[in-house]
Amino acid sequence: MNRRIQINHKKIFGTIGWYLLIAVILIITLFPIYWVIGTSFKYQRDFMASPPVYFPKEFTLDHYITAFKMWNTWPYILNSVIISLLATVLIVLLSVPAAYSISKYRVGGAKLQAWLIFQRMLPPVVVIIPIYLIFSKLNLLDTYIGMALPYLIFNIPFAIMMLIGFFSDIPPSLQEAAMIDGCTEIQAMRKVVLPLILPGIVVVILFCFVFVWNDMLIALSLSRQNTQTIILLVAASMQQLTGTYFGMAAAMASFAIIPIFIITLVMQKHLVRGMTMGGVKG
Amino acid sequence: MKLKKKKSKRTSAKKKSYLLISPMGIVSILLTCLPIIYSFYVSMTEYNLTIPNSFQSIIGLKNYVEALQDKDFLNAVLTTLKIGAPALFFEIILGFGFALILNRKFKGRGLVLALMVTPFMIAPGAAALAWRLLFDSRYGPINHILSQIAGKNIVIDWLGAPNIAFKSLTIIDIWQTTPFVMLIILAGLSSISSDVYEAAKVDGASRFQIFRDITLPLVRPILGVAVLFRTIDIIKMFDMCHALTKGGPAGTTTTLSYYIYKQGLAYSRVGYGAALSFITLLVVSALVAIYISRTMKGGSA
Repeated sequence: MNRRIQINHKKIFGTIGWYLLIAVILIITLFPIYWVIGTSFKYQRDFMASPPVYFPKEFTLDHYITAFKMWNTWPYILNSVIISLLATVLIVLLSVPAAYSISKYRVGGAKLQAWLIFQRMLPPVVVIIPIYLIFSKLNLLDTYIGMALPYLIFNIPFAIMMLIGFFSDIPPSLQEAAMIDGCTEIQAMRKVVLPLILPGIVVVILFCFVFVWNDMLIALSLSRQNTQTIILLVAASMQQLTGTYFGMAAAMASFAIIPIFIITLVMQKHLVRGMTMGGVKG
Repeated sequence: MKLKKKKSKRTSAKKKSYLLISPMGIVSILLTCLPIIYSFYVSMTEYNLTIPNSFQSIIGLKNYVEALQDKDFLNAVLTTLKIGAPALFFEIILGFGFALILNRKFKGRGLVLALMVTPFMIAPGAAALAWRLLFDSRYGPINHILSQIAGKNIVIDWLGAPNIAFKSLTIIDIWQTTPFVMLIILAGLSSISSDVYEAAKVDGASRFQIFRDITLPLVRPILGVAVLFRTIDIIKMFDMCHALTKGGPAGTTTTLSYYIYKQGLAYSRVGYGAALSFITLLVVSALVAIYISRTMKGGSA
């Protein structure tokens, strides 16, 4: 009896300690994000305080208002949204049929798989110089389509590998059954396979959106005045950043962070798969 | 008759499969193969965007010879290693630790994992600003917290001192990427069946023995994948350098990718930049080849 209570004690303290440990890890991990988003809502006296104010008592939306009025942030956000959506739509339109073809007919075999991995891993800096030269000849610099196209290089392989994983989750007998019932292959695909693969497509869309939204190198190289993204604005705001502008710079960075933060929470279940290009199931 | 029908069905399936994949194939050729081939041609020229007709002056492998003698290029490679190698070391250790801690079932596990991964998901360009605020020598909390711990006033110029700035980038990389390494290791851990552990416990194995003899060998292949992924990632490191330090102070945070960008596009020496990027391409191709040969053999990772 006595011994049993002792064991329970040990277990309870173990569990509490374990929860504390996780809390500490989470706090350290999230602190930088808390700090930047927090700064965007702080009054100047709080973000220019020494010692720093960790838990401000008052909040303000002023920095967001000045970010819009003085720095004209809205077009940058719009550019980010347009480019990310455009690239994502193109990626999905090209990847879904390709992934279907690979998973059903084994097109290309191991060689194609190897090529896709290669294309996925390619450092952007390796292709950005020739793409810059080619796009300047084609008058594609500083255009939405020109900004969206380079992202296809790295994200189509990603999307295809993810989708192959999702396709392989669907038992082939389902489609065969539909075809025995008199559906053509395209009908079977549309009525049976597509609805089942739809959640997978949504996951791919969200991931690609995040990848394109976050990019700096390609946007920096191919944009001029008209197609600059919010990420470039944040980077520009950091040149010779003085204390007085902390709040506004933080507000602009928050625009870049918050949508991605939400998407990450939505995609909980699929993070492992996405981060390893569908290679490791989470 | 029957045979013929079967055959025609097969060829039509083949046609269909190629038809479905061809748009992606064409895009792949136009956006990847063509630029790489073109880049190789450009790397053989003295092409400079600010000098007219420099496109036509073909100089063979001269750019490559220059690259191998370019001290700044060598420095950029070394800087990349100096930032990346310690980062990778700590990411593996911490990632493994976190994975062991989180490798059990509990309520809200998905949410905790998602929150932990946010540093990896948000834009490095925006995270750069967060760290700019954290590292600020006057108003930043990091110097303040360190001062509190040490009990005296500590003022470290995290981003401005040449012997510290690259270490700050290492710290940021550890913050950003440990969750990624953790998730990969966690996926590996969860694939080990609990029977194995039970059997080991029955046999009287200690915790350390279980870790050394069961967990580690089973996780090792996936650890290899993580290291390869990360190595290529480090070669790609660009955003932090551009947003946070501009490669400075005194070039101490100019990484490989940033140096190539600067030579090729910022300084308009596209011929030379293309040569540098081609050298990088060879290194990455070798790494990818290792990865592919491993995954195709193992099949699991």
